[in-house]
Amino acid sequence: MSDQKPTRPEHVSRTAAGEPVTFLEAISEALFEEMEHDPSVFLLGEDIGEYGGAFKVTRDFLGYFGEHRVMDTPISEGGFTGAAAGAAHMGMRPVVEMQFMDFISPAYDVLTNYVATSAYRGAGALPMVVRGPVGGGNRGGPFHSQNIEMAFFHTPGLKIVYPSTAHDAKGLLKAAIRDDSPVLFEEHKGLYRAPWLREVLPKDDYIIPLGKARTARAGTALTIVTYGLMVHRSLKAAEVLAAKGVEVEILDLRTLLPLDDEAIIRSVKKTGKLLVVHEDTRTGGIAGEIAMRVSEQAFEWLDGPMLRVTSIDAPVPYSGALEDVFLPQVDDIVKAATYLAEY
Amino acid sequence: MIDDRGLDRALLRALAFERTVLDAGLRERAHMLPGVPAALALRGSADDQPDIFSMRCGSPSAALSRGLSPEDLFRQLLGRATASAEGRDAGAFPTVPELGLLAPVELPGKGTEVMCGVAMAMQMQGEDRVALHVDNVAGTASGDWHEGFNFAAVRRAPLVVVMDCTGPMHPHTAVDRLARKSAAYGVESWSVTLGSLAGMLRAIAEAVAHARSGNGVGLVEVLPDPTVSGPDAPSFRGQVMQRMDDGAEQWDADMAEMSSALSRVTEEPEPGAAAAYGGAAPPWYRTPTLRMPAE
Repeated sequence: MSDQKPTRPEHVSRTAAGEPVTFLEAISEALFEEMEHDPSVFLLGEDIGEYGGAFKVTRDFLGYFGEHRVMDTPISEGGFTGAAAGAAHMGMRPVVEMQFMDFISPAYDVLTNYVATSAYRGAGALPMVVRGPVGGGNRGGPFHSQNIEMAFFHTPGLKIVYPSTAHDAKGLLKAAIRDDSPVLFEEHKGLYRAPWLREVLPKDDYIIPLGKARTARAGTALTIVTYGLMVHRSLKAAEVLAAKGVEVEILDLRTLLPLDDEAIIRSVKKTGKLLVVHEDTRTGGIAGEIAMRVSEQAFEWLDGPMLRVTSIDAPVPYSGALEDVFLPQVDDIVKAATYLAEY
Repeated sequence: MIDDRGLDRALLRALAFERTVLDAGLRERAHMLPGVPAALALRGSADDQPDIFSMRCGSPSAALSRGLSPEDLFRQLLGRATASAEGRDAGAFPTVPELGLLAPVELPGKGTEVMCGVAMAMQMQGEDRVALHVDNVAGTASGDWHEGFNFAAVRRAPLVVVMDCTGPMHPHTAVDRLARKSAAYGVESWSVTLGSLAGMLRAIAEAVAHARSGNGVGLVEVLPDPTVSGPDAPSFRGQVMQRMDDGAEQWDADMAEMSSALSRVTEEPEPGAAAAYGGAAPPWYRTPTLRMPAE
């Protein structure tokens, strides 16, 4: 066996070379760099070793870090998420990959009953990340397209992160891994290899604090609160609206739990109108919680009803034509925003 | 490893604790087996790297045998704990890293998953420590038990699972012996009866040595024994005391220690909600609204 250190994979070295990276490469870089910096960080999930993961996020990690830190697991999401919790008890910082976040359901029990309650029960903080691909638009049907945030949003003790850019994905994932709370990290598949999201990232080690939203576009007519892929649909809608003289403000939440109330309220007080756009289905979606908070904290600044654009209340369809109807489109956002701006 | 004399000594002290708990009405049943021998079979708290022990729910005397003070256990049972559970639960769920104690997992079967991860972490950290989990046969029916046990077996993690099979098997599994199930996972097993305390200690110690030597998971099934009606029964205590030269004196001393510890804890002021939350108001009081007066 050779003593020579394995070569650093090319796809996690682009930022060091000053090259632009995709959303997916930004995630790979974040994982790789955190593993290099901190020996307690390790990965586990289905097919993440030899195969490099279903989306190749961890391609060539196994050869570099070895099988104790890049662990192929049996198909047992509950089992290996529970095992990650045990490892976190012992000072490790596990990062669990769900091959598709739809498959997190078998781990719901351990995440909500055990992991989320551990610090509260006095059994110690559990620093661990559960990450994976979410979202529709890829013709994946109901088992490979869901958004899972609201299944966990109601659970105190968890944090939920949902980035929309390569820059944010890298900085937020690093922050999530370093955080002492369990964090669910959602990665929209539609962003993974989107060429228009490629960007040159800072060479310095950087993190983006959890719980802080960012203003993706400044405006005065109304506030669109959104996250993930819908940030980009909202930005496209904003261009259409700007052509009609309607300047909307777009707030990218970045972290869903905890919500950045301060940023939401500040923006709504500035514009007086709120539109929430999310890809997740309508009933029980995050729009309801945001609207309630705005009602509690900024009702008297509102100049119109609070509205939402969301997926419809149905499973994600297999049919491409139906899926396009199911998902929020740019036109839907333009229509709702126009109505609200004219209200 | 602790000898038979030490085992009897620890059992008697655990019995005195359980007797005090029962007499005070803090619990209705005592579950000291197989937790106490399991706690004693592990590398102890005096070592730099104690093994990690997760006892079965409702088996606080196992934590006593691991080195936790009776006062800490009584505080937990009375819902007055301020150390590990911070007064927020009324069970006995201590997590004390320096004693190698991880709170028992109340969800059937899930402890096997968590302790699989504990064992894997020690393996990754290059330590020769062992994780030991006590569960009862009902847990084996859950998917969690299978997933944790299977994953640990695949990883050859240094995990010992001690299964209390003294209750009814038939609602939970079609096999009469968990040893058969264990073989299907590629895991070596040991079988002991509740009647042989020394045998139980030795079997668990062998499984621990097996795991520590890098041979992977071990399962110990503890089977019923018609001569043992329950650890809180006077006949059980009588058997232990008969083996000791000074059993009666030890029993009196242990009971005095437990009674005194319970009195001290009972006289302590109860921690209020503010203390339990570290001096702050519980977070649900903090929701700001326009029309509510400022706090």
